[in-house]
Amino acid sequence: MLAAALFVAATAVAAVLAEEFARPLSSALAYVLGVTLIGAVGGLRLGLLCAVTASLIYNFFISEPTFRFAIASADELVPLLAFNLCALTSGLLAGRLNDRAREAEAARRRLGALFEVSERLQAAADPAAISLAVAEYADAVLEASHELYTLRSSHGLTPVTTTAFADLAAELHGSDEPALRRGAALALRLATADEHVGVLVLQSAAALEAPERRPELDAFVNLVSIALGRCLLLERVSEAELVKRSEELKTTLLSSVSHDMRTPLAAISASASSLLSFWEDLDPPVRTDLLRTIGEQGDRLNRYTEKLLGLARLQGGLDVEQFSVVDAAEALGAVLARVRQASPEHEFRKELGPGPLLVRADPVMLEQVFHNVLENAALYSPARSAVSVRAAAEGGAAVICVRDEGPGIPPADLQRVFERFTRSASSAGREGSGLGLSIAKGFVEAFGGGIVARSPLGTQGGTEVAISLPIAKDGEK
Amino acid sequence: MTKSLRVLVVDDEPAIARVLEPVLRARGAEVFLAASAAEAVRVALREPVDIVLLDLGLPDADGKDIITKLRGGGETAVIVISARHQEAEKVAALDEGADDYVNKPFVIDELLARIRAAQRRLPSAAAAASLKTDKLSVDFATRTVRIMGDEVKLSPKEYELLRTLAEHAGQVVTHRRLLLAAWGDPATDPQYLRSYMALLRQKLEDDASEPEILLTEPGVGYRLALG
Repeated sequence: MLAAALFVAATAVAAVLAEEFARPLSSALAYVLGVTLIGAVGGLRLGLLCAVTASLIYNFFISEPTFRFAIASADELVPLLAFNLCALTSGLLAGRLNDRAREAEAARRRLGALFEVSERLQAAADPAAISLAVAEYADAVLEASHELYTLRSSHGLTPVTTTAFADLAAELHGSDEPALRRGAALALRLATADEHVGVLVLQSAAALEAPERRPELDAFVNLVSIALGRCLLLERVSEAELVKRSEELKTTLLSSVSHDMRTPLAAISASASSLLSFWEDLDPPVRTDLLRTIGEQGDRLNRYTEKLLGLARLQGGLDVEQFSVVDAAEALGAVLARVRQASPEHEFRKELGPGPLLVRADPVMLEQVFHNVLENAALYSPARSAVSVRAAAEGGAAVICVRDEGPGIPPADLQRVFERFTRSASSAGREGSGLGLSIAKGFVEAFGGGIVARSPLGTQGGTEVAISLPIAKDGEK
Repeated sequence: MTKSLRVLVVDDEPAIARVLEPVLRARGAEVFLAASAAEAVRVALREPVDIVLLDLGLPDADGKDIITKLRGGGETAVIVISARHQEAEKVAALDEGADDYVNKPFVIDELLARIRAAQRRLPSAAAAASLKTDKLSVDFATRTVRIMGDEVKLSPKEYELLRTLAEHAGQVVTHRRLLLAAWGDPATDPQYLRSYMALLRQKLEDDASEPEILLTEPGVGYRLALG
């Protein structure tokens, strides 16, 4: 458009000059200027087109003989040659400049994309995230589809994406080549400085084979290798960490089992053997008492076993798919009724909001959460004190608060009440296993909620444990 | 009692059998023992029993798989003895035809109560025309429901739910069976069941938030408490 406008302007000026002032030379110069500008702006082809048109117009309208295509003298030939040479030169120069600019722009874009994918690869925490980043880059820049395989010493080559080229990947893995081509598929080895970490297969990435794009591909493969190597390393580190933590857990568990199981077992065994050996010598009330001890300690063992089972379930991982919509208020009521019976020496007060509190959870595990928290409140507060329970919907959450009138928890211990096998110094000698709250926390978190402890409350001491669970959305089952 | 209750205890744990046998005998029952699934089926064929106490974890088979065989033509009630946390297992056993379950470990009173509840449902027992507990009475012929002597008005769905629970008084009734009874379709949104149970509790319980008559069996169903 600009070129056309310039050409029209130049023609108009030339015509005016030629007609009005009879200055054919000036008009020729105006044409040269126009043609040069057009060549510079529009490139070689447009420049030449304008030059030829200009020659024709000049020849026909302006040079002698006017209104005829003819060259009267050699003098007349010069402007024509000048038009075309100027257009050619400026067009070539402009074209080269344009090409350079376009190339630079394309290179900048590719570099930008490479930078972007490198950022995404750095942020990727697992092979799936890497594959996602690769997919975006391969799709936008390489115009190729991809397959990613990871190589772990323990598992061998494992696919992250589709497996159409699993054979090719395996073949490359078995060879010493850095890359293998089969048809339109190119398999590239992913390796860090000290190990092979996987294989990347690119399909229909023919454009990348061009030598000038080779560095780009190499850089990309390098980035993917580094990211994958880092992920695999992280996996190994967290596995090692897991093994270490599970070893620690085993040790604590063993010491806990030996204490928390042996104590009731010792009581049961002593009571039963006493009854067996000295039945005749024991007064009937004593016999009854011993029998009751056996029953109570049996219950205690059962509660402890439940907690160990809860721990095992948490260790094994919970399946969110197994959860269903449960009324937390209903579960709380059922547990309250049980706890009232088990701890008759405490006064349980409750304050429930209207309507159900529907949450997504496992119904039995949810009851265990409430049971553990209520049991704990009763266990660590004096007889004849009150335990108050509050449940209501607050915002998008079901909030259940259990508050006791016990001595409270020192700030230093408050952080640790939800850790396994934590019992504050003041609780030594009581029955607790140090598992109840940690299991409650584990379950609540599995349900997508949270649990916190606040203590002491005001000046009178006491502890409040607040559980918050997301309210189930309509239509959830 | 004209004829003593015949109970088959199926458990591979001898300690359980050693406790249950004398207690059940002391309660006037005739007791048979089996330590494996195969033995249980053999004994049940030879000695038609009224009640089977079935542990699901047997050495030779899953206890669930022999429920149909043990029930015979429905003259036998099967009470499953199962660990907590195995709700899916319990529901599966109930769907297979088991009548009830007891969580392990149990106290003997609880087990005896479940046996009594199962006994009421046996074909040999006359079909009851009404249910009476300490607080609740339901007359099936007139569809009258009273709580502490006062008549309670129930909607048709509420009554259907209560009737189903009352017919199985003392026994668990699964969500599925309740949905089928009141809505005619077990695939009905369980949300409705929850709402109607809440309404029933409002009408029947002293404190609907801590029910004493209509108990929740988490993950399985509901139970109408007998006493």
